[in-house]
Amino acid sequence: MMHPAEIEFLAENEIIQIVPTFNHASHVHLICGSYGPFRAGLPLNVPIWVALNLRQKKTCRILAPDWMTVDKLQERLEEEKASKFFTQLPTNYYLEITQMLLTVASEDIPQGNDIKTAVKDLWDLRIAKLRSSVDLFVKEGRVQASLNHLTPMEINSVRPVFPDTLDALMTLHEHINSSDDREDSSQSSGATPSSTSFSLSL
Amino acid sequence: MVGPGLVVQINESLFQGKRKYNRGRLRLGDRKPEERSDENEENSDEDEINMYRNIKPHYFSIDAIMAAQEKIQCSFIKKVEHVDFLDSIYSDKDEESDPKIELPLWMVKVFLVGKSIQFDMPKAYNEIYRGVLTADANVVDLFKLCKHFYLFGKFLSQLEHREAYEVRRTLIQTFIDRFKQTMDWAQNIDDNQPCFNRLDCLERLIFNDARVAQQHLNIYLTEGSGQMEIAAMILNYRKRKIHESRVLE
Amino acid sequence: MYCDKVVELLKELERSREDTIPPYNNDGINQVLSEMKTLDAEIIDFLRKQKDNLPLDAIRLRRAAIERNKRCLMTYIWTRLQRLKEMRWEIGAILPSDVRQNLSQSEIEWFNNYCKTLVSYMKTIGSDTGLNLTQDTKPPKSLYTEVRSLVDAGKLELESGEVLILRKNSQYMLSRSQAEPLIRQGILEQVRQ
Repeated sequence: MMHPAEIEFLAENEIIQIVPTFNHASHVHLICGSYGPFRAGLPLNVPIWVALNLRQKKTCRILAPDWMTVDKLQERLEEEKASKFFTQLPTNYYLEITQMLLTVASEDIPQGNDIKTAVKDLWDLRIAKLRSSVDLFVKEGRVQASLNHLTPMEINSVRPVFPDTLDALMTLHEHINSSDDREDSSQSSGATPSSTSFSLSL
Repeated sequence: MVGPGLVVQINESLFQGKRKYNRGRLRLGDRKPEERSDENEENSDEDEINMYRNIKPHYFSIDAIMAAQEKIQCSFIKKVEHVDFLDSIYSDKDEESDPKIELPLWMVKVFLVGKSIQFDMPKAYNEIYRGVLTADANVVDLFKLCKHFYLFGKFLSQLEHREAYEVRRTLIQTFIDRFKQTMDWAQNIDDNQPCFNRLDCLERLIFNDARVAQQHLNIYLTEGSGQMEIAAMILNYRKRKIHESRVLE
Repeated sequence: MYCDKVVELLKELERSREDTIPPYNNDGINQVLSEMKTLDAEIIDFLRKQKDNLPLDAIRLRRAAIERNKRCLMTYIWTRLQRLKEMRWEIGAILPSDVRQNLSQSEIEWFNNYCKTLVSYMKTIGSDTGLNLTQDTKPPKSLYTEVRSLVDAGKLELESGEVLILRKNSQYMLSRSQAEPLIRQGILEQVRQ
């Protein structure tokens, strides 16, 4: 299981736009790439962790990503409601990015509170979907299921429960007493898997 | 693990008892049950740290040991000699009715080898309770019924008994039926002690997993990351100290 | 009935909280060991006396009881070691005095050896000074952090060589690596932004 802080750490590598208030003519060379030049007033792309550090020193303004507006998020929410499956989101880290930007740079993002609510609604909806998928998977004793477009944080929310649940089920299934293995038509149908896999893709 | 199109495999488990297609019938796994009974199971391939919190019964699992300690009412077909605590059941009245005695599961297993004993399915697994669980598993206080409901039930169903197969089927169905409820309870953090009390030991492990993850997420959402905290052990240790000193006063 | 004593030992362990270690029950363990010896002697006795017509059930039961006693004793010790190991990672090499009191001599020895092994392994990671694996188990957000002292903790030598005197309720700026163990031990508290 990963801690949310670790997933946030992964999210910090996503690229975001900032408007610096200082000048720095040469590129800054980092392990994750080279960024620059920094010119006061001119937007440029940097990883989120760079943006947050500069913002905390008040040497830049952060531009909210395109998807981070109340209208866009409402659209996503409606789309998610209408779809039976998980919809593809503009970023894999919507919850974490919102959380980080609103903590450090709330003044740079208009309607911060409404955005927070909208993101939480989207999260809740998708988690509810995920949980009912997992429940269905367990109930029907399926062999394989595959869910697309889940984000790491969402996967993490079922990560601790799911393997243990399958282990518990396996414990109950194995070494069944063969002497009572006899015909019984009233049993529930559906094949019990000899090998179960549940794949979630991003 | 990052990047589009990548597949994250959450788990792959091997189910020993396969069911034949559409017949839904459990048949024998590749291994014979008597080769390895998991009341004494050893997970030698698991590393220790994982094993400590492992949900599967293993050699050092206290839950599995305690489940094998649960009592079963049984009667002897043959007289067993040279076991002191059994002498009393013969001495009372000579073979008037078959004498009954409660023995822990692990002993019953021993006497079954020599076919010296027969037993009744304990209350929680008899036909009546199987009916109740099939009707609505979610309303049953499983912990009260039997603390180690699933493990004890599993061990029972591995013994020679005509109802063994039905017991196992009920266990599996009960677990599946209650799974959603266990998850839901774990998600709603506020005061779910009463709910928790109704779960059996196996369900409690799953509940705790889910709950810890939910707590981490809640703290992350309210307080953000990057905070360093006092070790939970020290914190609890202090709370206990304060509590103890209050009791002394 | 056989094995009652050893089950009592495990119950004692089960009842205690998972983040504590109850007193090592030497008496209990000795009683179980002597039960095992008695059972063993009885089996040998049966085999010696009765050449044919062996009381198979009685022998099987005794043997199962010996095995079960062994399993439970090992579980008792193993569970305690798991808790002890977790403490090393949670609070470090110095155990609270009442935990230490509850350990047996060989457990204390085991713990010291575990600490040694861990330290010498951590020294080998990386090229020069090694890597402290117990630190920064979550990604750090900054190099320095503001902390408040919760007790009059006395002198603290900083990595720079300066000496700081920690007074109750005073605030300091410390490097994260230096602050973290003290925060975990509850001597300092991180000031929330």
